[in-house]
Parts: sequence; structure tokens; C-alpha cells
Amino acid sequence: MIILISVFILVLLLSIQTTFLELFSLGGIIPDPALIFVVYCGIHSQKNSGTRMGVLVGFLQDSLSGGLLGINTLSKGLIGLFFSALKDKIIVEGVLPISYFLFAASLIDGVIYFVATTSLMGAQVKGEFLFYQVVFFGIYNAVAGFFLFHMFDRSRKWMHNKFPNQIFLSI
Amino acid sequence: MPNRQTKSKHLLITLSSIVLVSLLLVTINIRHDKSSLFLESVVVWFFSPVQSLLTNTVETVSETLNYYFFLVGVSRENERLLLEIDRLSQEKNELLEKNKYLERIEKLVGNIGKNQRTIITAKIIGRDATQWSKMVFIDKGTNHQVKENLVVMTDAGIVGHVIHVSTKTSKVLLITDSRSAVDSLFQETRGTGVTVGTGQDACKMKFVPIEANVSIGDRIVSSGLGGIFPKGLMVGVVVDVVKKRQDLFQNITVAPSADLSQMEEVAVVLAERDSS
Repeated sequence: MIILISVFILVLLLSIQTTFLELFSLGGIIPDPALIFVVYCGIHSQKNSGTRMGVLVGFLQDSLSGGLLGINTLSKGLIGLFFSALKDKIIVEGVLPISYFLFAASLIDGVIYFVATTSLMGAQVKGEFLFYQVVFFGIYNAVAGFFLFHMFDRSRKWMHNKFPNQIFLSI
Repeated sequence: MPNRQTKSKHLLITLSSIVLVSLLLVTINIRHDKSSLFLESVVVWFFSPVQSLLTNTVETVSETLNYYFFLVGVSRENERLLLEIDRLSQEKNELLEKNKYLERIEKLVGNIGKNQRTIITAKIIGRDATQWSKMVFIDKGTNHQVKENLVVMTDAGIVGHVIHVSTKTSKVLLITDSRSAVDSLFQETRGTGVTVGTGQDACKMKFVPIEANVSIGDRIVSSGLGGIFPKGLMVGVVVDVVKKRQDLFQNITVAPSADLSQMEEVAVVLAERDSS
């Protein structure tokens, strides 16, 4: 059941991301709830489930975007792995740590995407545009992510109360 | 110590697996030249009803909110009358929306279809799932004869082209995407260049020689070269020109003639009819 609820949350997030999230666009930049979800899963899930969730979210995002298939699978998978591996060594609680790690994850995501598209697909992206886009994307994710983290926390606690014998994201 | 070694080994295996899976997907994608991967089609098929539902819900909520904003400040004494007006206004609003929709469709079909083109209209049901790429989902697919590389436009001009088709939906790469390129020419001077996307709201016209006479407001149309966009379709208007003596080409910024951020319906050009 808990897996079904997690998948439902994921489907809802990606559907929102592809429909009306554009309404929250600031200077052409929109936040990435899928990325925030991967970071959250990386930190809060059991063992390597965060990595698997990262790969799954990345693949779904690839399928729902016009970019090259595999790029988001790589970036989200690496971000999931990064946070799964470091979750015992870092404390991600409070405004600043959450925002800081989301900003870092956004930078990784943006840089992987631009390196891949410019090298593999020959897309021409200007340096200052890349800087502006990635940094602003990171800041936006850091701010929006803090609120989403709280929502995910509440959902997780609700799930634990409802289904005490099941583990969050044990896929 | 051995535990730490096992952990490092495990981490290395996971990392290699992620890179391998991603490279495999990239290779499949590049080798098959943007053609549909079965799993990708399944994901799009799975998400399209949810996207349609959400889009329709948001439209309804936004229409209702817009409608109620007009009623702010009305006196309480007229409550009963207001309820009646409310109901009538809602009906009128719905009719107006339908009317506007029909007007838009008529405009689309009239302006595009009259130029010997077979078109179908499609509704935009979603946008790209990532920040980086400029793409939209439309509610027409192979069931409606939509194929890859078909041109998508509005009455104002080119929007993009179809890059992926499933049974009921398709993905359209917008001309503002950094991977998009439209071989173009200036409508007046007939000078040539390539309109490329920047990943932002505007495009750039590349390879226009420094001595070419270009000014703000010049209209750009497709040249017909490149195999996707037919000749003479409106691409955009020049909004900025920068000439530097040391450069070979001019730096020209182009605003797409179609409003890519506001569009609700588009036309997919199925075929150019034989004018003879």
C-alpha cells in the first residue's frame, strides 16, 4: 500500500510539473518537484531505494520531456545515489541544510544536462545563460523545496501512522 | 574494514549501473533518431489522461475564479438577483468560452488551411517535465494521422515540429528549444540564415553575413530547405540586431511570431495539398 501511495505522489508531481507548474514560472524558470522528491527519497528511504527511485523518476521525466532519453535518468540516479550514500553522514533538517542540499542537487542536475546536450546533441548554449539558468533554478528549487520537504514529511508521517508495519519506499 | 570495502564495492557497482543504463538509453535514442521507444510510449500513454484531467481542472478553476472576481463589491441586498445573474453569467461565460474556442479554431483553419494545407487542430495538454527543454504535449497522435516531423503551427506562424507520437498524444519540439533549427529567409530582402532556439523565449538568426541589410521589424519566413518546414511559413520578427566589425556574422534576435507561452490550440499540418 505504501508503495502505491508513493507512486501516486510521484505521478501527481510529474503531472503537475507537465501541466500548470508553468503558472509559477519566474523569469522563465520553474522549480523541479521531481528533483526535490529524489533528494527527499535519497535522504529518507531505506538502503539504496533512493537510488532506484532516482533512476525511475529520471526515466519518467525523460519520457515526458523533449530532451535526450537517458540524461535525466543519469542525473537523477546520481543525485539519488549521492544522497543515499551520504544520508548517514549529513544532517538535513531545518531551512538552511535543506535549501543548501537542494541547491547543490539542482547544480548537479543542470550541469549534467547541459554537458550532455551540448556534447551529445550539439546544442549551442551560451555560458552566461547557463550560469543564470542553473543558479536561478537552484535558488528556486531551494526555496520551493523547503515547503515540499515539509509536505513530504507530513505525508510520510501520515503513511507511517496508517501503515505502521510498512517501510517508506522499500522498493 | 572489510565492511567498508564491501560498501565501497557496492557503491561502485551502483554507480556503474546508473551510468550504463543511462548510456544505453542515450545510445538507443540517438541510433533510432528520436523514434519511439516502447517504454517511453507507455509512460506517455499512462500520463496523458492525468495531464488532460489536470489541464481541464485548472482551466475550469481559473475560469470560475476569473468569473467571480468580476462580482467583488456587489451589494448584499441584491443577493437573490445576484444568484440569478450568477447562473446566467455562468451560462454566458461557458458560451463565450465555447464561442472564443470556435473563433480560434476558425481562425486557425481559415488562415492555415486556405493555403493548400490539410490540417488538424490539437489542444495543448502539457508542457515539458524539465526546466531545460522547450516542448509541449498535444492531444492528437497516430490515431489522428499525426506522424513524426510534421509541422505544428498557429495562425501567427510556426510553433515547432512533432518529435514523438503515441496513439493519442504527441510531443512537439518548440522552435525556441536549443536543439531546434529552421532554415529561414528574410521576407523582404530574401537574405538567408538559420533560426535556432536559445532555450529562452526568443530565437537567434544565425549565419547572416555582416554586410546584409537587416533592421528591427524585418519578418522571417521558412525557406523550405531542411526537409521539415515548408517554404513561406512565418517564423518570427527581428527584435534586435548587433553588428560587430570583427565578426563574420550578425547577432540577430528573433521573436517567434506565434505566442508560444499563451497558446491553447495548435494546427498540425498533415500534408501540403497539390495546388494544381
